[in-house]
Amino acid sequence: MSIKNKKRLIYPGLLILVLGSIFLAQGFGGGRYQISDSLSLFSSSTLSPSERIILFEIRLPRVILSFLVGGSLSLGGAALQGVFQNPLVDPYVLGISSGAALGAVIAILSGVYLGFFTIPLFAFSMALFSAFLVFHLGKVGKKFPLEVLLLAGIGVGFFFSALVSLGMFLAGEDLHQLIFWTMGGFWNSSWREVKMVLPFLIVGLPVLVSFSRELNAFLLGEKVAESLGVEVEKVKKWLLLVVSLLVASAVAVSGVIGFVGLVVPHLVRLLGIRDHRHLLPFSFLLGGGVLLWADTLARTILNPVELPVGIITNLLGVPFFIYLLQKRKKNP
Amino acid sequence: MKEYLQVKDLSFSYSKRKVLDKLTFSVKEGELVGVAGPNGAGKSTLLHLLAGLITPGGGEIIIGGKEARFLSRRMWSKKVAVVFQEVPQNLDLTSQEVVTMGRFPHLGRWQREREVDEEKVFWAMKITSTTVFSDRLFSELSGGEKQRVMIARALAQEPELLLLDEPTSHLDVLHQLEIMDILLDLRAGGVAIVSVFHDLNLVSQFCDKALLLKEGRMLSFGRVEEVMRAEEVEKLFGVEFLETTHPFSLRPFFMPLRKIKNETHRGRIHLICGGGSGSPLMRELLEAGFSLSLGVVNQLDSDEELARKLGIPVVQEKPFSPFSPSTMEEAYRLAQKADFIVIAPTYWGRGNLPNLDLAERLVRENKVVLILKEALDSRFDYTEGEAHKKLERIIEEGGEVIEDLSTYFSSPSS
Amino acid sequence: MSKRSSVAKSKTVVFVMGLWFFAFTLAWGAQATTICDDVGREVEIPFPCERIISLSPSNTEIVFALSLAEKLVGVTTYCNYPEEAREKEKVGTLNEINLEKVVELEPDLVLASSLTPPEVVGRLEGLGITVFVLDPHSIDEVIGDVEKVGIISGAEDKGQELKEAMEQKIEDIKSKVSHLSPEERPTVFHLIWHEPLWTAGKDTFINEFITLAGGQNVVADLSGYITVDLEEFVRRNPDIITVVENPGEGGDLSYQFLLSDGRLRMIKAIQDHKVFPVDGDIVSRSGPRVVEALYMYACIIHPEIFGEYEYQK
Repeated sequence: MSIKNKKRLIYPGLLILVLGSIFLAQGFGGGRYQISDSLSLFSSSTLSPSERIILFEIRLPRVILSFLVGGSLSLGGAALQGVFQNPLVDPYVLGISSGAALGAVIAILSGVYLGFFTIPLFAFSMALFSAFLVFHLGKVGKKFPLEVLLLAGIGVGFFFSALVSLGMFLAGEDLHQLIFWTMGGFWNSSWREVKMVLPFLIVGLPVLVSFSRELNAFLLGEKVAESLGVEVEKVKKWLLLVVSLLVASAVAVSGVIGFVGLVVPHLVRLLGIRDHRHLLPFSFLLGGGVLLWADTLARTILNPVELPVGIITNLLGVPFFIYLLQKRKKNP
Repeated sequence: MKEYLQVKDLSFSYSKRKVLDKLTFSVKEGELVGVAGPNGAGKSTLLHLLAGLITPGGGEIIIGGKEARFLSRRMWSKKVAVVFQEVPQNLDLTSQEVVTMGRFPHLGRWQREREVDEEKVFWAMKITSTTVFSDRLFSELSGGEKQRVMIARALAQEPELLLLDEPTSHLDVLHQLEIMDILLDLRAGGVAIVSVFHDLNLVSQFCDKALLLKEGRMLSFGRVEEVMRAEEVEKLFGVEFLETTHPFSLRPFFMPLRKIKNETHRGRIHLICGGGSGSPLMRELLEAGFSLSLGVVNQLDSDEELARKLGIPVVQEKPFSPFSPSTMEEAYRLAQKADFIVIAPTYWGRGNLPNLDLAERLVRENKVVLILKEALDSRFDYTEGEAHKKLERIIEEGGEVIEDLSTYFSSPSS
Repeated sequence: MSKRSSVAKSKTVVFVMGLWFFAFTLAWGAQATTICDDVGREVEIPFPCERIISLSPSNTEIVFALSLAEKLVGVTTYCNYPEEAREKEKVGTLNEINLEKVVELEPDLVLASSLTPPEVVGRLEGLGITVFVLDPHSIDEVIGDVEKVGIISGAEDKGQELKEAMEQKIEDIKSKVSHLSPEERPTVFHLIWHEPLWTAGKDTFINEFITLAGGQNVVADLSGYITVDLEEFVRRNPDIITVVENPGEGGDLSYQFLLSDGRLRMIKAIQDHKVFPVDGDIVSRSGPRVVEALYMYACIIHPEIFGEYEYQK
């Protein structure tokens, strides 16, 4: 079947696209594209020490980090949409973004300084704490009814957001720090941040993909899935745990970047891919690519001034949603 | 055939409300059991328990010789497949993909679908006539088509026990019968099947055994012919049924009767009929508020059956026998109590001619005798004119010929 | 004609003239001054002002510098210089002003800033309170403000004195660096915050400090307060970096960043250890201490002319 053959070409094709994107994005800097910068990935002997720092300690880690974060958010979003059987779910539905923001607020206001990972550490811990809180509130007996989880997520999210607002009010002169953080961005990304995110991805991606078949079964509804042999509550618990870790690490490192986790899985589905065995890895690769280019745009358009990448993702999300609305209007 | 599913004292409560109370029954391999009962009887709950989706409050379930609570989720799903009443909404998978989900319990975590899986899927889709939709999106199918695909999905599971919750409710007649055929085929292949039906007759026509549930209790369980009788069924639903025998399957067939309205009593009518001529009149008159009596008719006459069903006093003669004088006396006594006598357009033969003599006698005693005009038609006369002569005499003696009953009884003079 | 009547006549004339004169003086004295404030509003200032409220730290510093401390009856929570300012009544923060409190204190004059919400200015005006908005964008404008506030608050002399002193100090510094050629003017990068890198381009006070003190702002091609790419920072390779430090815990995060992030190691300022923390309260306020700020920058950029820069936390 030629469709099957086409499918076989897709993964290598995507990988080439991803590598190509990294290659190209590496060439964008100082507001313009220079192929020599891209080529430096292969031979760096002619570079001055400053140039080397710029290309390999500032730009390359940023390009890679934006890819990893975009991938994590999209992967998490796709998995959550599968668990909740709801395509409107985004990776922050368990209150993770508000929790992370609150962690950052606490770190900034308290002035506690434990080294450079202070803010990411606080953000990560609070993000996990909020996810844990949501699990706890969302539990009924031994089960995790999805509607209750969603409500708990909304509630916890609102509560922490309110605390964040309070923090912002009290922050006074430190306000700008908070605002930048909540807008989400990859300034100052270094290999350090890449190392913070990578372990969660290395473990998370295969674990989530291993649940593909269960996620597929979920599409038929929890009852049918269970009758097919899926251990529904166990799957929910594991998926929610792994996604929380993945998303918390992404948010801790780059702030709250919206839309990517929600929109990319939809784009993949629009391409006709519904089987989670492919939907998940595709979402990862496509989401990584999208955020990589969004960030490249963010740091190139107004160079040397940087736009927060969250603004670009939010702007891109709007036409996408309009498109979705039109589609829904046609087939209700 | 061995017992496959055994249920002992199965109970289930939902907070404080007892939904199922001590059910005990068993299903053999290759046996089709139909579950019937009014809404809220606990039928769906029973299926959910048998599927292992909820835990019983009491009692035990034994599947394939093993106690169900010791079965892992996966093992359970390999043996038992369920087709639910609800059908997934907004499902953007192709029908084939949906049916392929049925192979889930047979595949390892990282296994891809093998050829044998594809064969099973194809087979399941073939017998449910859903191969046409293979590549169409599930969400674009009609309700009935979706239901068939879901059944195919359950079949792809290769279950030893198949549970269905009202599998035919969205289907048109053709597809209903197709599904029943599929179930019969599966049954022949040794699959034990328990299915809830809202249509009583699907149970009585196709199933081996019936499980009648009312308010969580098992009203009866057993072979359809033994357990499905009019009295049981009426107890189950609280509605009167007319039980007949289906001409082809020879199995019981139930027709619900309308609830009879009690209006003010307008009088008593004795009907002289037979061979079905009285049936339409009986209903009409009862609804109009009259009480009735009948006679004489032979046993096995359809008018006699209906009268019995409706609780109307009937004077009967042995089947195919001419009316004896003693029977006629009985009829006379019964007719005396009536205010009106009505002669329906019956076929007259030697056997039932005495009914006309009865009418003549009654009209001489100044009873109101009404003869439906149609009854005078000569085609009804198989007595070479004797019946006609008798009718003429009745008219001479005061019998009234009327067009139809409703006109007669609605005019002020009645 | 009797002597008595002519004496009486002259007395009357003197009396009437005196009355006239008195009335005239009164009228003249009671005449309100109208001065244009920094946002172009023509404000009628009641004369004299006895009760002044300041809605920004720089305005507070101006009032204190004009020796009008006793007249100051209300300040913001951020007003911390000089020390005495902390003891004054608080009427709010920079953008949240407690209107009731302000009215309670019965001010003659309220000195607002560009951060004061316009609605607050409007409300206060509506309540019959005189509001004067100060919004200087250069050192010269700060000096102009000092002069204006001196006039409207009845400390005109002091205002003049201060103005001249400030102008003198600035001239002094300017003259000492006027002879320097462009190569002799080191490039300076001012870091306000590091995540993302926040700096000051042209049209900012910082830019003036740097330029007047004999340096060059390495981001002078950009306008206003902007964020820049880390790459750009490395590329521009400033000779000197000044970094804002705030009092208290964690106020030196940006400074720590500069010292510890290995990717900055090729920057000249880092290699030459020319990274200087500056007090945020001094360099970021548009009050009389701008001169002090300028002097700090002069020491930082040309210690050989002005002496070593001393920084106390």
